[in-house]
Amino acid sequence: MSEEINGRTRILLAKAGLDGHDRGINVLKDFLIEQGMEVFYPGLYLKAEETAEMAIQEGVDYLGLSVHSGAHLEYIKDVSGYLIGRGALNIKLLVGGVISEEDEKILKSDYKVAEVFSSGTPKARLDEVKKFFDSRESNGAENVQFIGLNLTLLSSLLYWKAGLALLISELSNGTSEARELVDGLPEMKKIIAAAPIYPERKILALGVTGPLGVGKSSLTDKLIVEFRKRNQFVGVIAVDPSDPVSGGALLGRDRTQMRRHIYDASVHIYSMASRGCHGGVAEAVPAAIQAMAAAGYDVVIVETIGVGQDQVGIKDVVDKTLLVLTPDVGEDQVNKSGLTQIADAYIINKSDLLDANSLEKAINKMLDEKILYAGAKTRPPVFKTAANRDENNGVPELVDSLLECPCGNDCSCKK
Amino acid sequence: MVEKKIIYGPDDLKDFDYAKNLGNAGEYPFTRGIHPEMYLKRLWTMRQFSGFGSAEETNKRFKYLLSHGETGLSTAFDMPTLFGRDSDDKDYGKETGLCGVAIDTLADMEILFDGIDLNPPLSTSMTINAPAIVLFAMYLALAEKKGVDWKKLRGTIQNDILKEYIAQKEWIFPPEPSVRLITDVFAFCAERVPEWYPISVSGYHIREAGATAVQELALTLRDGIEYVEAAMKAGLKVDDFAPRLSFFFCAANDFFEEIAKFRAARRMWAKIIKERFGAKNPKSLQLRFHTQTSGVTLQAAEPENNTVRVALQALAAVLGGTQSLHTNSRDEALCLPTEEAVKIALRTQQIIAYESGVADIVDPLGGSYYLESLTNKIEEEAEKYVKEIDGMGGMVQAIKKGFPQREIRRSALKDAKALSAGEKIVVGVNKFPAAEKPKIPVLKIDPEIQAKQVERLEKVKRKRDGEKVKQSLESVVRAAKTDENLMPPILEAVRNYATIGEICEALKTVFGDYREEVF
Repeated sequence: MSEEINGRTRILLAKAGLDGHDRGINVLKDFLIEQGMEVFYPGLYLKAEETAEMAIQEGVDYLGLSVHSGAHLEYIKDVSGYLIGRGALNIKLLVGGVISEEDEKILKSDYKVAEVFSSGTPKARLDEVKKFFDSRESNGAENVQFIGLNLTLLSSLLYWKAGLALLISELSNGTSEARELVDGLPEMKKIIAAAPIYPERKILALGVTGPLGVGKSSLTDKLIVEFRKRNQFVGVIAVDPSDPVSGGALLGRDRTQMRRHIYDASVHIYSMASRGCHGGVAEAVPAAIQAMAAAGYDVVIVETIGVGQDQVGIKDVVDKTLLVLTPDVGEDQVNKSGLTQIADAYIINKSDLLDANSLEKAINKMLDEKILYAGAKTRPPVFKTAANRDENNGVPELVDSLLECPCGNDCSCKK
Repeated sequence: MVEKKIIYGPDDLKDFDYAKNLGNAGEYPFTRGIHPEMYLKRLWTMRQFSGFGSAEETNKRFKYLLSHGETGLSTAFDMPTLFGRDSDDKDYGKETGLCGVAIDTLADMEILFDGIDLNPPLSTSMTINAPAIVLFAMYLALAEKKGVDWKKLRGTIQNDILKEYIAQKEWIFPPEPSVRLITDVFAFCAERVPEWYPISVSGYHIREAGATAVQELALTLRDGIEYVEAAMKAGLKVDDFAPRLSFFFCAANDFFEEIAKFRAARRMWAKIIKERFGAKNPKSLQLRFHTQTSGVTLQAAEPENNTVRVALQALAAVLGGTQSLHTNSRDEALCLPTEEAVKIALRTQQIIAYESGVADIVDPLGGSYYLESLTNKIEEEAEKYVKEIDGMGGMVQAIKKGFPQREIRRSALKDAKALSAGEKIVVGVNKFPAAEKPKIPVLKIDPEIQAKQVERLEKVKRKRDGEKVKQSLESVVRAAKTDENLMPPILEAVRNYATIGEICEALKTVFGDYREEVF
């Protein structure tokens, strides 16, 4: 049994169909975060498939479905089928809502639901819910074993999102077997051979950072669109802060901006909690990038929390750091040390709504006065974008520049 | 819950002024009741919320209740209808008829009210919000067919979209166009359907979502303020529509707190309409309301206990001066009401009305040290919330910021923790839990309901004039893009048997849709 440092339980809470009775699920969401869990709650009226897909990509331990409309058997059937069909056999199902005793038996026997928390029963009380989660044993080593076995049988991590997400979750938990698996992947590829499914690509890791509200997630969404137009496989690691007191987190809120990509087989979005790490990133980000690289992704975009001038941790972890600002951020920000000094490119977003010229001048003035450019060998370029727009948003030009090789050839040195 | 002492006395009502704080029933500020004689002149309307499966089945339930002494109808629609979708909707059609009656076109309405005279004294309430304008148009078209004069037609549509974003969560369009639909209905009723209540500003759902009594009161009245402002901005004069505003509250467990809440509501609203909006017509100052006993307090364990809970909650509503009342059935936590369960619920109201003596005196608890003190306290606390939302720029802004949603979440979590810690007691559940599990009959919905409804819908579509439907939908889209009143074009579409899904899709092309932010 491997030692799990800083392991957290991840759970996706969902409702199904047109059922809007969300009192219970919201109470659970707030309570479980307080208990130190990482919780996803994408809101009402998503299709069952969409919540299942999200659960897969986020490598969660549990998917909790709340149904007060009486249609629980139908929806669990949909969700369970979707998960199994994509090899997400490790995700445990939980059900809550208006569930009769006979239906509880059916859910457990036919759909392998781990537990049912029927509304108004003692099991559904918060103290009993806490007992349930406290009594569960974590099984990181078994999870990694499961991934390893299936890799040799199935396909690559590039096409098995459930496996990749579970691996990243175990890397975040500090499961040592996970580390070994990732390190051993290049060797494993040679053994499995069948070259086409393990392309030898080098991953381009981009960091997207900047203050709150500048549009990082919108920009990431447009970057994905652009990279997809160039047939690249794109991974995203979105980092959100963990609550400093409880250790829990509400994750996945940036996914809303990137919603259009959920069923794109070439895009994998994973939300990571900082788990006490400072610097705007999480400790497992480098390992996660390594896992995505080993899987065969072309690009991974790491979106950081980006609050505060000391959040420079991203620089060491990615190939290029994009600093996103908006014209109303204030030009005095530009001359402060820290965040604004680590950028490989400056992105002035919302340039369609606000006048970007003044900020552009200020950035260029700051760059003029520098002798050394931190990180980059050449002077970092400045781009103007309008990431809320689908057309004429400045992103194709940005991506052209990012994919340009300093040696001038269309090669893969990507540095 | 509001902080309480163990006993109240004259010290708690030191500056009490009868004329200012209470007034007689039927006089400003109406604390004691909106009419001088209240139930002695006319009892509250006994109006049981009903609907399931097909229009035929619900029609049967309507008739059953009317024959047992119910005095007003109240319609529950199924999920697809509440969301402006048809029974053949590819994503949500499978929820047809499960929690309410399935209505796709005017043809279904014709069956729903078959054999029922829509003339007064009957009034029909329809619990419908996002697509309320469409269902209202259908009811009007039906009345037309039955030869009932719109000027006499009585009833209510809930039509309160703000509380949807806050609590019930049944929306289609974003807030601004939704409010426009509401003011269009106000204007149309003021002119053409003057006896109708075009809105029932609701606190019930807010309460059931976890809010406290104070929050329920404050958020409901603040929603009311938002609608009055919107109507005036749309060009209506306050005295033209305010007499036709109605409200809808919950009757939950704390007996006296609920009674105090109803009295505080009347007093607060009277002051708001008079001082904030300058209304002159005394009818504008009267807060008239419907009450439903709390669903969330009823338990699946020992359902017979629910009959007792409902009786006490109903009594609070009557002592609080409600104009209309729905009592939940004992099987509320298990299913939609069976015939025997709903009969007991109706009899509960009748026993209160005819046997308890409570209805033979107006505001019998007025003057109680406790009750008057509590009424003052609740008003004071609620006022703080109203001011806070004023400070945010109004309710729509507050909703966008997530303020009411967060307040409710906090109260809900607090309540769940209190239950978990044993501080909140539920008899038969966390105190005196019984091992035996007696079974009570449970209502089952016809598993063929969707198939049957889809077949009916196809028949209607074959018979109707497709060209006329197309043209009327185009008129709806055209009107939606301007500030033309949408009732006339929607009426025309409905007369041509356009479906609710077709009309709402047409409106969506102009208004867009809505997705909530999770707080």
